[in-house]
Amino acid sequence: MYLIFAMIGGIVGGLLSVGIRLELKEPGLQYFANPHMFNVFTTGHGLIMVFFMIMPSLFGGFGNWFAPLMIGAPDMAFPRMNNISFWLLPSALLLLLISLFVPGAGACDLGLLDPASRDLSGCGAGIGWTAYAPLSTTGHPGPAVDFAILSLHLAGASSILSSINFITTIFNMRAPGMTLHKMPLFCWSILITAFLLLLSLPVLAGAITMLLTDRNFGTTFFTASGGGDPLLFQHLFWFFGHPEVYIIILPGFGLVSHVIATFSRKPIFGYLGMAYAMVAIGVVGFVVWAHHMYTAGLSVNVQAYFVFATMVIAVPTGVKIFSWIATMWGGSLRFPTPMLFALGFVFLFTVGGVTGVMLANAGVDRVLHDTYYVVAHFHYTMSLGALFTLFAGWYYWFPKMSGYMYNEALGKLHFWLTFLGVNLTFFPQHFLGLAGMPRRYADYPDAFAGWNLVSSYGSLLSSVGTLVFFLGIAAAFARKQPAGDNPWGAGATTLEWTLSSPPPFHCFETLPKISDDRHH
Amino acid sequence: MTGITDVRAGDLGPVEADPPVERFVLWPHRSLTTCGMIAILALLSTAAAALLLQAPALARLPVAAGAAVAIGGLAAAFWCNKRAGRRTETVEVRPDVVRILRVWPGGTSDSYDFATAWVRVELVDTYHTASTLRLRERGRSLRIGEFLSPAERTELATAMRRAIASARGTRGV
Repeated sequence: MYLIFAMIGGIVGGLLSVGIRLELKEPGLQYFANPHMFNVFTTGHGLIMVFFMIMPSLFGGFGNWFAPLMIGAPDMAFPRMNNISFWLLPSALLLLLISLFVPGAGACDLGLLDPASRDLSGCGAGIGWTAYAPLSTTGHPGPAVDFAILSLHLAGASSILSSINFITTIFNMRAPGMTLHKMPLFCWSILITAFLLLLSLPVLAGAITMLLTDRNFGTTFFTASGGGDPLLFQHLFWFFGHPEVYIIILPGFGLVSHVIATFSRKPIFGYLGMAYAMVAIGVVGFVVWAHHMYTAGLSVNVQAYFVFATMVIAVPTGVKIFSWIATMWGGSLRFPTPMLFALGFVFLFTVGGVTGVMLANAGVDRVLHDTYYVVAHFHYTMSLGALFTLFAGWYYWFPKMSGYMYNEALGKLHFWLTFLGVNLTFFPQHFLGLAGMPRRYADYPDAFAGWNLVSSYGSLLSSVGTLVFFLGIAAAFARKQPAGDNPWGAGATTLEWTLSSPPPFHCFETLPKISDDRHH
Repeated sequence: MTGITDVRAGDLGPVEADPPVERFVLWPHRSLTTCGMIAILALLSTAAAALLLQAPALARLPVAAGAAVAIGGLAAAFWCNKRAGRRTETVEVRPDVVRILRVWPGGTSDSYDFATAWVRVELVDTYHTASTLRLRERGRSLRIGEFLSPAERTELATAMRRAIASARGTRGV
């Protein structure tokens, strides 16, 4: 259900992004009535992709399905709580979608009764996924932002309940002998992600609750004239927002480790290093938030600290990248679709990581802040990185989940279309950013037209790739080619491959007792 | 299954004095000790406190409230999961009676008796559904081992069938 929901979220969020790229294909306003509508689209795209596509799929979908299997538990500790966690998400998505059609920054008439009176100029929340005050307070007097805030509250509650469930399950319901140091890296990644969510979401909840009271109950947390501080919201948001980046990507780290080990037919290189690198990324991720705020007036000493702390994150991240490469080194490599997506992820994440190290410098960030360079950077890391791990996991576990083998040719076509499409979309944005093109604008000078055109064509190519993905699913279910219990052979060593495909609702034919010294 | 109801605690037959041929004690597996739970909660609380100290004074209360709910929720989940792990079921197979003693986490208990000569052990393990283990006798049935994994249920069913056959032989019927 999580995965189907994520597909729906992905389609909606993806269509919004196609709308954005169509608008930016040429200078001037083509499709949107006004720049506010463009901002509404970017806001919707960001929030939907983060909260209703990537998180429900990697953490909710794959986590719920495979974490209990991998630790040898019959099910999650609290199946009903899991159900509540899931059903909060469609409600939250519905609230967010409603926010698109109610007044936000100004007048909003959908023209349902009288088409002649249609006025969409002020519909929706055009506040970006960051929802900075005062744009989200006095800048948007209509209820659209309230809907968006309530949507985030529900999505946050869902994530907190899921986190509690995962922590309890992974700590308390491991099979006999499944010690933490033998636990699969995917379970490690889910556990660390759950801790990050549990510590960071209360901060977001507090911040958006304060925003809500500022908007509706006359408080002035973020209003300077009332004794508040607009910068406070930025601090609180990024205190959540930066760990959120790792929340998005960490399950992908765990997942890709399994895929690379399986198709290299070798155990993962440096298992403990990989596990504790994720712990380190999680811990350090909490003390680097203000690198998003170099231009907000921080003192030089504070900036120096955040530059240093941010660069430290490159160390555990580098440990992971090099361990993946070392796993492949000397391995008996095969390149089916999951492996292609895993390698695609390593490439994209490395590109995003390198530009991240550049942006970590406060001096460089002065120039590049809020330009398309930043857009390219974060799409390469948390967006494309997460998306490619998601597809790697999908193709890797699809035979286990469905019992059917996917069409390898369609899978590879999907990979190449997506890989070329996303690089064509986002790589030129580095050039646009370096040339000074600011983000969050619907229009731009003619000088930026060339790379924007390329970027928009890349977006369309990625969309064709997505169509091939859905075609591949349909083909797999139409062809019904049995996958067998373990289609990947000797390299797939984790517990889920010992079960039938698909696994029964409650899992193990023989109770797993982990006496082997090897980790998974 | 239609028309068959679960046995209730009041449906007890006469207690037999024969010693049990075999006795099975079932309980849910838990991998974390109480000390471990306390350590995790302490670690999490310390981390949350450290994070709160970084937060500006104006925001501490709303953020602390959220953190308290999250950590309190985790503590409650640990407690519930641990408490659910205290449930036990004891199956005693005697020559005349198969007795199930079910002790709930709160300490209350229910007891169910089946005639050894008539009781059947049924393991229903349909593909795509959860397996269930039932004791069935003369139009009544009782589900046991609900907290076990299917593998454990299969093991239990085999062991119980063997024990019941052995008990019937002991009685010399």
